Amino acid sequence: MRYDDPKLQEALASVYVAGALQGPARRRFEALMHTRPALRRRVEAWEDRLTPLSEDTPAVRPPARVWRALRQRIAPDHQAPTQSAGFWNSLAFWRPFGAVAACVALLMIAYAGFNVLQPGPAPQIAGSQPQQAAPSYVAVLEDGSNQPVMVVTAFKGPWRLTLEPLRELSPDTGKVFQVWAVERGSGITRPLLQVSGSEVLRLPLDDDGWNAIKTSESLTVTVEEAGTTPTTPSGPPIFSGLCLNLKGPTET
Amino acid sequence: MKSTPNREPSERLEQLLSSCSLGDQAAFGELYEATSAKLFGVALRILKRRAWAEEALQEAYVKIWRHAGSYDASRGRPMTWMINVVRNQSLDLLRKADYRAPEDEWNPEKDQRLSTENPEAQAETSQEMQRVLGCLGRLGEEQRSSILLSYHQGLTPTEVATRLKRPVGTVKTWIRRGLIKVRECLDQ
Repeated sequence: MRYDDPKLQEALASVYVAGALQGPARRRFEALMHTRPALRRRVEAWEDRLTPLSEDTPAVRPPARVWRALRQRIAPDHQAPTQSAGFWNSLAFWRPFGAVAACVALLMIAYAGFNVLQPGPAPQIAGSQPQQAAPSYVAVLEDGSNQPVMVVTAFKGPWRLTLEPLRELSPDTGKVFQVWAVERGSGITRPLLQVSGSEVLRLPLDDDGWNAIKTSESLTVTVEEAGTTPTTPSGPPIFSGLCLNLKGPTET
Repeated sequence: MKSTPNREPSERLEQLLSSCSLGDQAAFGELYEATSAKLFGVALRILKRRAWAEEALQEAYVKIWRHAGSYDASRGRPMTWMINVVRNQSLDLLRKADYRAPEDEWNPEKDQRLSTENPEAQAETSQEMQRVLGCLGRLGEEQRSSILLSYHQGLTPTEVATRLKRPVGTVKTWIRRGLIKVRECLDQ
């Protein structure tokens, strides 16, 4: 795949924004956008070019039930976005990492000052998010009907992981979504992290975490009891996706 | 001169988004009040059916609420960002097999404004829109139609090809090359 070819990127970005990219190609493109800041910038430039076409679209007042439903969904007891500082410091966030918390805390310090690895000739635009640059691994997890649910990306230098839900994730009360790495060949599952909300998670990876990612065939998600740290899945996966190495064999 | 009716000042929308990112529900209410009619219109234009457009609108605003913190004011106007959130949500719905209005259920004659694809027919538009329309106007008629059918109605190249009675490969080439020409024209 020549997704780093600027001409191809430009063509795909234009067709995507124009609404003409179809089916699986559209989903693949969106997944790629999560991992390639240069591609995302091209898309944003095309949005700037074409969105004026929407200006003449007549405004139509939506019925009140839309707002009522929205209010329900954004209510504080319903996973309102948490301010990042509070979130990072919350017990709920750190609990899944109990055993590695000390290591994680050390890596956090390194995390604050990591360098940007920008592949290819594309210039880094000031103000863009450096943590989105140069991922090494990406997995797009889909549900049983092949709809993408979340994107997990792993970066090196230092090792870190981002989990971005693509839709609302709300496990039943008392449950969490456990993300697993499934090892190539052996099929052994290793717990990676737990998710219970719909915020974007960014966290450093320790040796074990990085190893689990780079030896994994795929990532899967099961529903587990909240407050536990299971070592094997208690049920079948509800989401799964191949874990792709974006850098080729040198990375493994 | 940006004279589009109901256009909210970008600065105010940026403030509201910023407040939303801190969990301010009142700001979200004000943002919804100021922008939802426009965004609903965008969803309706693509999805045609009100129930689907309502669903897309609701999902889009949940995304806007959740990702308000990641909106970067230096990168574009808030309305551009929000319109594209709702566009993508609508296109995603449209791509699901069970969300596609049969051709005969959608009667463009019923709503002249929704069906307006003729650049000359646009009334109050900003300079930006006039520039894009001007650049589109330099393309051949079928090439321009292909792009506008995609953009406004979310038609796939295959559907555009059926409608224009042309091979799908030709339509894909029209769209791809047409967009590059539009960019070159806008960059002049």
